[in-house]
Amino acid sequence: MEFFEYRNVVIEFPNSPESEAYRKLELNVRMSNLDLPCKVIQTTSATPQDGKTTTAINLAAVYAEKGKKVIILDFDLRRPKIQRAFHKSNDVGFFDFVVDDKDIHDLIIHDGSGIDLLLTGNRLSYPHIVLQSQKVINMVNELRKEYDYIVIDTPPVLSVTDALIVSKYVDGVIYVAAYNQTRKDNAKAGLEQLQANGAQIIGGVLANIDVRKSSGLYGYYYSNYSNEED
Amino acid sequence: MIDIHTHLLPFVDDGSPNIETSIELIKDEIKQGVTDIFVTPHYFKHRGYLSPVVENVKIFYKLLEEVNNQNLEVNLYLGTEIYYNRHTVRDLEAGLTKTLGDSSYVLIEFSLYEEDEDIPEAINNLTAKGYIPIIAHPERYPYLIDIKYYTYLRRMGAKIQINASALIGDYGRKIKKFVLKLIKNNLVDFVASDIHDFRMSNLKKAYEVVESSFSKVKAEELFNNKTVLN
Repeated sequence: MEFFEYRNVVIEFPNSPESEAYRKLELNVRMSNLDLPCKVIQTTSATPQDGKTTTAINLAAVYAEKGKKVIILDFDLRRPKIQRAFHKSNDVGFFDFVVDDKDIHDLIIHDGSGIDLLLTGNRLSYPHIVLQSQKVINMVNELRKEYDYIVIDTPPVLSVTDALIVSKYVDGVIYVAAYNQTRKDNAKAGLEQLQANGAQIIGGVLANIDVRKSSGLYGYYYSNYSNEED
Repeated sequence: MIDIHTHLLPFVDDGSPNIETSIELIKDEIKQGVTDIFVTPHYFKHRGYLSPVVENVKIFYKLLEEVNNQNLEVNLYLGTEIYYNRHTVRDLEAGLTKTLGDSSYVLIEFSLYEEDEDIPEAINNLTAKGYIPIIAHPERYPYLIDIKYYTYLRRMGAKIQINASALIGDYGRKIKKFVLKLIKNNLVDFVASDIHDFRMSNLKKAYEVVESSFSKVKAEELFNNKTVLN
């Protein structure tokens, strides 16, 4: 049995150093490409429970705080978690769009935080096939016209192929690793797979840092990927 | 005493084959000191128990009529014991199943053999819709033997109902010890009979076990939990 709780510090503790780190993350995403703004942003990680969902929900909260129209798409169809982070019942969602051809707008939940959500709904049998279908790509492209930002939460890279598939139709990927948890070789292998697939990696987020223990470091540390290479 | 889990509605599940048997069981309940009974027939697809509320109500009124004819002093309310699956929230909203009486409490059960449903997810889905899930007899689930699970589930908003049989040792010494530990740690909300024609009510004996092991106050709290009547 798995228990987890998500914190949206940007909403719950807007003045905390952690939420400030997410604002900095938003700024860095914006600065990553001034000519071609990053509208559709994917979060992923190497292994499970590295903090990708926490990053997705907090980044979305920064957009909402700035008055931007934002939606989170839960494309982790195998282990969906967005409903837990926003305390919603996962009874309708993406499944109904794919299988029953329901209008996507009837499936989107408007959360009180100002963030829109597309949950997964029932379980789909072949997520990787569905995620690379033209139907889904068209849907994401339609939503591009209606939203300022689309944040897509996807499964870990090393678990299944889904994240690599989605990375092909997003503007940028945020790669999350958990401090003191994600194994270095795993983090590296996941990154290499994304690169080999031509993913546009905007940067990395180091999650799980205890602010009280690490003086001089904010709770979530953002590093620009290209700088890391230097 | 208030009994929130009984199979006294005839014809619809394995509880009682006819009105006469139901009346005998109700008389037994009254003898135990029960004043309020929630009649909670199974809604359990794999066992073929799918009598919807609209049918149960008709039988319920017949039973009520007989209770009145015999001047039995007891209050009856209708509910459902729902075997949780991914349709549970929709079934509740469609009126196929119902809460306990007029309350927001729903009695839900899970597999007696293996963890085939994500219980925290179930609790999330129900609480998100405003229901208060009561987990029926978790002491009978071999995969729910760790006390820390109960802490988490209750923190998520679930309530815990154990069977009187567990307290009097019908499920063995190990389970009796375990439920006493749960009570000691304030992790139990209700004790109920789960009465069928093959499982007589033993609420009185179980009440005495709690009274002697803890206190009368504790026994009242568990056997006479009036929150369901609101």
